[in-house]
Amino acid sequence: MAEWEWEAATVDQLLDVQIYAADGEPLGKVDDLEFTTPSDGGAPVLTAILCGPSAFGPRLGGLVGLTVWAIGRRLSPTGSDPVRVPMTQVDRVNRREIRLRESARPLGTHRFADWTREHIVCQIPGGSR
Amino acid sequence: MKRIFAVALGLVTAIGGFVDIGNLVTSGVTGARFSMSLTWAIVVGTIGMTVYAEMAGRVAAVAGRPVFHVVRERLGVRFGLFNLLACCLLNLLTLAAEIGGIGMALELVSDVSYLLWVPLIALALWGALWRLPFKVIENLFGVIGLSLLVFIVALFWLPVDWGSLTSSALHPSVPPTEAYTTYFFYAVSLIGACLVPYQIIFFSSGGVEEGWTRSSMFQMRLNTIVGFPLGGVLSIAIMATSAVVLQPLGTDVGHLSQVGLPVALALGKVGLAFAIVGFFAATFAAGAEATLSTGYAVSQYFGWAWGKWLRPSSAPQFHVICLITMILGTMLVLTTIDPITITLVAVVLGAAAIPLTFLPVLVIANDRDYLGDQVNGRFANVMGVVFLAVTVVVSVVTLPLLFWTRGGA
Repeated sequence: MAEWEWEAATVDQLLDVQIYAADGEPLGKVDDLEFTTPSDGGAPVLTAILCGPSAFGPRLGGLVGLTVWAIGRRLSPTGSDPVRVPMTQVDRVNRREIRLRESARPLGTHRFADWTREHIVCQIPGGSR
Repeated sequence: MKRIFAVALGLVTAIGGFVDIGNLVTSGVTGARFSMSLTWAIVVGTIGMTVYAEMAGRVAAVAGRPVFHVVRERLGVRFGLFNLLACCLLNLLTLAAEIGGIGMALELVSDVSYLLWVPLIALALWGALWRLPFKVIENLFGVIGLSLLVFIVALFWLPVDWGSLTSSALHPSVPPTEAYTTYFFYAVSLIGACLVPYQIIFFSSGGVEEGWTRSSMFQMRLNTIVGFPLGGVLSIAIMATSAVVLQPLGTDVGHLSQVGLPVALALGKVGLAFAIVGFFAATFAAGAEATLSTGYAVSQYFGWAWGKWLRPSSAPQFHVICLITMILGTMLVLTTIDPITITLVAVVLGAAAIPLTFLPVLVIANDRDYLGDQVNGRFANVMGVVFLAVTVVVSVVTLPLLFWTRGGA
């Protein structure tokens, strides 16, 4: 499980925190959080971090949020499900950043960067350096 | 020795980086219309820029956090996005103004309309961003931009009545031919020309790019506390040459050539050549910085990899944002909107947007989790709060003034 280097007083302190890959590459921000209520009816537990337009849009709310969500739903291979990083894939959490484990890479956090690199940047002369 | 050179170079680029199309146009226009009676606005704007940049620079150096990182963390996702959109729009206007400025400088040399130069300029700017290292862009044009110092030389060469010039600066009054609203509109434009959002974003992100740490604080403070005020002095000198030469003639400034006219009168062709080279370098550097700032702001808001020190393939979204910005900015100039008008609108709206990014920086600068022992002292906080109050007043009056005076007509 993730190592917590600080005590978050409220959950919203975790929102909008910067996420880094294991090698230090910036991946995005915490757009939303997933909580699960245990089957024994206890207090909800933080189970995953959600990223991407389908998590970001609903947080904006209103027509703008709906538009962002709809665009994300059409462009994403997983439909309206946001990129979900289970807490088991999180290495460390502190007030300023969240660092993922090496094994988090296939989860889809790199998808947008990979797409722009392949389809735009590498097509421009000098872009594939 | 090497260290002294590096420090001096940083200082020089801070002076060169301070002056862009906004300062050239607003100083030229106000000097010709109001003589020196708006000097106070440049002073207010420059002090504000110093206070803000020192705080943002400290947050960048100690916490490694550039401005838009802080904006989303402190203001949340919605207000942060509003902030981001406002900033991108302003950067776009600024970029269009700078491209127009480069075009006007080339038009002065070549007699070919600036519009024909625009596509070439855009290509050159984007090529520079795509291939040249960050240091080269910042230092090369910052140093060449110093040829604007020719305005100070020209001022001493001209037959100046120093007594009336300083008394006009020290006892500001609205000229009888001008309305109060116009006077304050141009005051806001001068404040906005000194206090530009893209420069702050560029300054703090550039600090992170260059790997500032606590030990870079001396250089950072020197640049903000000495470099920026010297840039302000240069703006005042441009205003003064315009006041001395253009005001008695009753000329309105509608082109960069009129801003350079006093230098040509005082120093002839050589002087004018220096002025044009200065115009070109200052606006070219500013165009590059405004584009990069947009890439920085968007990438920092969404948490993507950003920076010129990364190869394009390592920060793909950042480079795509810069490219889109460049295309949109070029299209905006090609609509043939007068570049001087775009400049004025960009600087007054920029002045109105300052509190949006300053507030989160002020909050983080007081957060010990981020800055440790380098949090704001009492002096920085007093200055910060006074400055925040001034900029809030400016934001409130800007739009009414813009419409009331029809853009300072």
